[in-house]
Order: sequence, then C-alpha cells, then structure tokens
Amino acid sequence: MNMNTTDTRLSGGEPRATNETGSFFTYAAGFLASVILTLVAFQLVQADALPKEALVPILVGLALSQIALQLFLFLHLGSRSSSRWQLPAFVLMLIILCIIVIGSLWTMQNLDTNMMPATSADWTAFLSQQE
Amino acid sequence: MTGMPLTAQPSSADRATLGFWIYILGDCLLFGAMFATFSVLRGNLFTVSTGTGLFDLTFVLIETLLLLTSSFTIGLAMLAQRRGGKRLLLLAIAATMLLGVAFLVMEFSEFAHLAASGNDWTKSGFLSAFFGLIGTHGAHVLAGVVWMAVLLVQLGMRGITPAFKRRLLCLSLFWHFLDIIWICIFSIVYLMGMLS
Repeated sequence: MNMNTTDTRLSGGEPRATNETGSFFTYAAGFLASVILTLVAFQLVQADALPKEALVPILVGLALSQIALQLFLFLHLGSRSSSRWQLPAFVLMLIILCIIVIGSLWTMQNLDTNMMPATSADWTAFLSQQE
Repeated sequence: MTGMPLTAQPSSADRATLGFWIYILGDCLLFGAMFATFSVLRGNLFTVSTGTGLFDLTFVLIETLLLLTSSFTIGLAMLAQRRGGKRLLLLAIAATMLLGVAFLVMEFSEFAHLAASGNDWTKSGFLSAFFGLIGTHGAHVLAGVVWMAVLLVQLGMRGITPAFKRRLLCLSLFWHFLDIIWICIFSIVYLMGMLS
C-alpha cells in the first residue's frame, strides 16, 4: 500500500513546486508591497526634496528590498519544495554577477581617472577648435 | 528500497524546472553585463541631453505598474492551474498577455518618441547602452508574450496536461524574473537618471 503511493508519486511527473508553494495571500501581499515600494521610490524622486547623495542609497535599498520580496514570494527561492540546487546555483550567479559589475566599474573608473581629462564640455571645445 | 528518500529521484518536471532555472541565472548574467555597460557609458553624453530631459517618469511608472500587475496575474494563473479551473486559468493567462502587450506598445512608443526627437541609439554612448539594455528586456517580454499565446492555444486544444503544467511553471519563473530585471531598470536607468 505504502509502496504503491510512493510509486505513483515518483512516476506522476507532477511539478512539486506547484503543489506546495504560493497562495493567493502571498501573491497579493507581494504585489501590494511591490506597488507601495515602487510608488515610494517614484514620489521621492518626483518630490526632489532630498540631496542626490542621500537619495541614491535610499533608492538602492528600496529596489533591493523589492527584489528580495519578489524572489521569496513570487519565485519561491529557497522554499522547501524547490530543488536542492536552486539556491546554490543562485548564489554562484550572484558571485559572478558581482565580479562582472563591480569589476567593470572599478576598471573603467581607474582608466577614466588615469587618462587625459575629457568631459563633454572639453570635447565641444576641442571640436570647435578643429572647425 | 523503502528507506530511500523521495527526493533522491527527481521527476522529469523537477529536472525541467531546474534546467530552466539555470537558464534564467545565465540570463541574469547577460543583463548584469548590460547593466555594467550602461553604468560605464552613462556619462558619455556627446551633447547635453541627459536623462532629465529625455524621460517622462510618469509614463515609465505606468509601464512599471503594468508589468508588476502582470507578474501578479501570472501568479493567479499558477493558482488557477493548481485548482484545475480551466476558465479562470484561461482568463489569467490572457490578462497577463494583454498587460505584456500593453507594456510593449508603451515601450515602443517611447523608443519611437526618442528616435523622432533626434535621440536614437547612434547619438551617444549613453543612448546606445540605453537602447541596448531596454531593448534586450523588451525582446524578452516579446518572447514571453509569444509563449503565452502558444500556451493559450495548447490549453484550448488539449486542456491541462502534465506537459502544460511544466510549461506554465517555467513561464511563470521567466515572467517573474523579467519583472525583477525591470525593477533594476526602473531604479537605475530612470529614477537615478533623473537625479543627475
């Protein structure tokens, strides 16, 4: 009896992730929270009340919290029913992503500061000289 | 034999989902490279046209809300599929598809507007990176919309089969992922672009 139920579960081909994760409540909560976070970020930029140095970290924080929210509530990252390899693969992707993004910005920043200064104003001056 | 844990033999659906998950992670790296390119080139403006004058933030907010709502409706489709309600499932997928199409129409009109005002992708490094990044995301959304159309036809013809469930699960992963990428685009390209 027990073996039979086990067998049908193994050969049934049911995607396990659809059986356990996500309810109307988690989707609705994720949706509402995402809308609120988006509107807060939008209003902060529209109001233009804060200096740029303060606003950028806030915007990054709002975006990261919304991403984390959707990863857990919508994509069910790391939930019990997801594959064992889902989370490790995701972490490896994050490491490579950081190397690409931070590495690019770092390299180009160094190149920029060590090369001849050229802002768009410099270029306009240079081109008007050529003409 | 009876002592073997169930998780030792993943079903074909599990393997398909994991494979698709690995594809999505690869796609994340693609977008990561495009974001890095954009961040490096964002200051390369040949003329004075910065993001401040180019973008209509309210227009982009509506695009964002469209995509966010579609991410919710694909979640509803997953719930409807689990409960076996074919009518509700059809409705949820169709709603997601319509929201996706509306998003694409808005994005295309933004592109057309930019190109018409003399700010096409050949004008500066910033604009090349902008069109490259947003265009890549748009191409993904278009692929998702086509995928939904195919699923609707399959649902109408064959009903909810195991293969259909697997495809819908992969589609929902894909669609939620595109929404997450759009959060990054909205924050980095548009919101922070308005600051400088």
